[in-house]
Amino acid sequence: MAYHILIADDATMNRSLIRDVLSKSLKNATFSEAVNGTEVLEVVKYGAVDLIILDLVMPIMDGYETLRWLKKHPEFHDIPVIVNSAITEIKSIEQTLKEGAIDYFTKPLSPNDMQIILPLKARNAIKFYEQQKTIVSLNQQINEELKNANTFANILLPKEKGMKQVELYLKYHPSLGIGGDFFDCVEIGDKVHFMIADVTGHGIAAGMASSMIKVLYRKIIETPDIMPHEVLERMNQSIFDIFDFAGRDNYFVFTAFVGVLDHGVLSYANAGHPYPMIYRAEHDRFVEIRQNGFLVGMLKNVRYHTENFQVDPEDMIFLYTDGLFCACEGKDFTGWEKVFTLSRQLSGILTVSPKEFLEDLFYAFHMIHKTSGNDFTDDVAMMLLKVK
Amino acid sequence: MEEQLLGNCMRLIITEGLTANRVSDYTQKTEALFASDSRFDSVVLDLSSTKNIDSVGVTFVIGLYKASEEHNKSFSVSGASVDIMSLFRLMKLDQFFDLNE
Amino acid sequence: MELLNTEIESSFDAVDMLVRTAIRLLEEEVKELSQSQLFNINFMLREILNNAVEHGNHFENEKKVMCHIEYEAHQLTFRVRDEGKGIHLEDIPLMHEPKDLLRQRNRGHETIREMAFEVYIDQTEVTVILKI
Repeated sequence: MAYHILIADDATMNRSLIRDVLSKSLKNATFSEAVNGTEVLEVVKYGAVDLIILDLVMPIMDGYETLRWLKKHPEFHDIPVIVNSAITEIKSIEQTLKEGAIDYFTKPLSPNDMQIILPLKARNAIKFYEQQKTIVSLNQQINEELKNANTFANILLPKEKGMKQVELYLKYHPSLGIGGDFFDCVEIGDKVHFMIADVTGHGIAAGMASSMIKVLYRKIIETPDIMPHEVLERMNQSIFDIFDFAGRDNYFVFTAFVGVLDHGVLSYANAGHPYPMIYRAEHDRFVEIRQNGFLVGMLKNVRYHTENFQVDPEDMIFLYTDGLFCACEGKDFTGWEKVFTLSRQLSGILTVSPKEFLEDLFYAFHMIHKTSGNDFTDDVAMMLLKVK
Repeated sequence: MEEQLLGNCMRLIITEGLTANRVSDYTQKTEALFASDSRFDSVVLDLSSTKNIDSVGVTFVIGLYKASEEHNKSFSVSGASVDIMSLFRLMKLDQFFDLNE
Repeated sequence: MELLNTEIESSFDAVDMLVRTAIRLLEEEVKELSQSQLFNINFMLREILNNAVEHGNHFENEKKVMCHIEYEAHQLTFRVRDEGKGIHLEDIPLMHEPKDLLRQRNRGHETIREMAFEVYIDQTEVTVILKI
């Protein structure tokens, strides 16, 4: 690997000295020279430079200005710069290091500086730059992958339009572009099946798990007249049948709420998911659906329980995941009540525009988290079904 | 926590409360137990002296149940007070293991 | 009538001691409480205090948890406050719990609501009311 080093100094003798020292100890180095800042910029724009040895005192454009220019431009700001000067005052050394120079040495060079210190500084700087480049490239790769995953995740979302018995409104905000929150809603014959789930954690692994839940769910609800508790029981059983949890840590654990709407009767079962709310249009009131249950994927042979609730046209079923009110890891104890309180406050908007209700609620929690110095750390999913 | 091996049954007696400050100690002991050579087919968690319990304690019980299952041992809870049994029922644990008198 | 007004350090041992004391106190001073209610209060207090110690104060020694218990006209009011917003400690003992059990444990609050307590949360303070 050939490293290209740029030596900038207005004195020819200095440039030769440094070049000599470095070419003796860095076997693969090639060199360019510049007499002032302007020439430095020309060289870096021309081709790849792996290290700049920069004299601070130069005519036309001095080292300070050059350094600042380099650090301001994204294509060049990672190139390591070792500044040097006859100025020994601490203020200028401090200044250049603060501006982003990676190292500093003073002139004149002592014999030790020349033979030992300068070559080592140069070598370290080049190594550091290589590491930086690797990190940047890996980051780009990961971001590309996340974008792909995100596109795929969006394909998994249910279609908002086209159902006869409900109007569907969704808001999905995965924390890392892809996440473990999942919801689905599909009309099969004259029944509307829906579910919301929250896989432990967020990010790629959680996203993978939630994709699998979608497929499992769609397969399971093909069984005619299946009840919500059966859906949960079958999902749970499938997880233990399909996956091998030899170790203790089980990443495929999730909360879920499953519902079936059939001519005004809502049947549901809950696996530890935050209680959904139903807005009763006639009474202008929110009620909670309180039912508890074990998380899915925790234990084999868990049994769930289906309950029923009568709903009328214009009523709305509101489901959400705990990422909405819970801004810190593990702290899902806080803020549930706020969902209820804020929903009540926004009920005027709900009747006019369910979509806006979701946006406003999301924004309200965003502000609440912000005032405590937090932000959403988990995925947020909200689903609203308006009974037609 | 006391451990008593009676025939094929490993009896674990909680004497100090099933609470957050004690659970890591209990967990260490039960892990060692499952890893050891002791031969037992069943695990009984004796809660007859237990008055104090919190959610960490409850998850310890769930963890113990899971571990027993994984090692093909049966699991039951004995001597739980009426209040503890209600708590277990509230948390839907009664469907997994027997709550004996 | 104020029954208890104290602060403890941020450890599970301190929670244990406080709750045992509090329950004894309630047993003596509030005769109308049944054994079941005392048990539920025991569970609820531990849940809130554990949360304050672990999630509020991150087990930091300098941070305290305040606990206040009041009894007035057939109503018990419990207030617990932590000193929130701290730096995260690397080595928190129970974080080594497997993820699924940790998730299960974090749902203790739902159990509390099932126990007929009213729960109100305001930043770092939790208020629980039990009508007797």
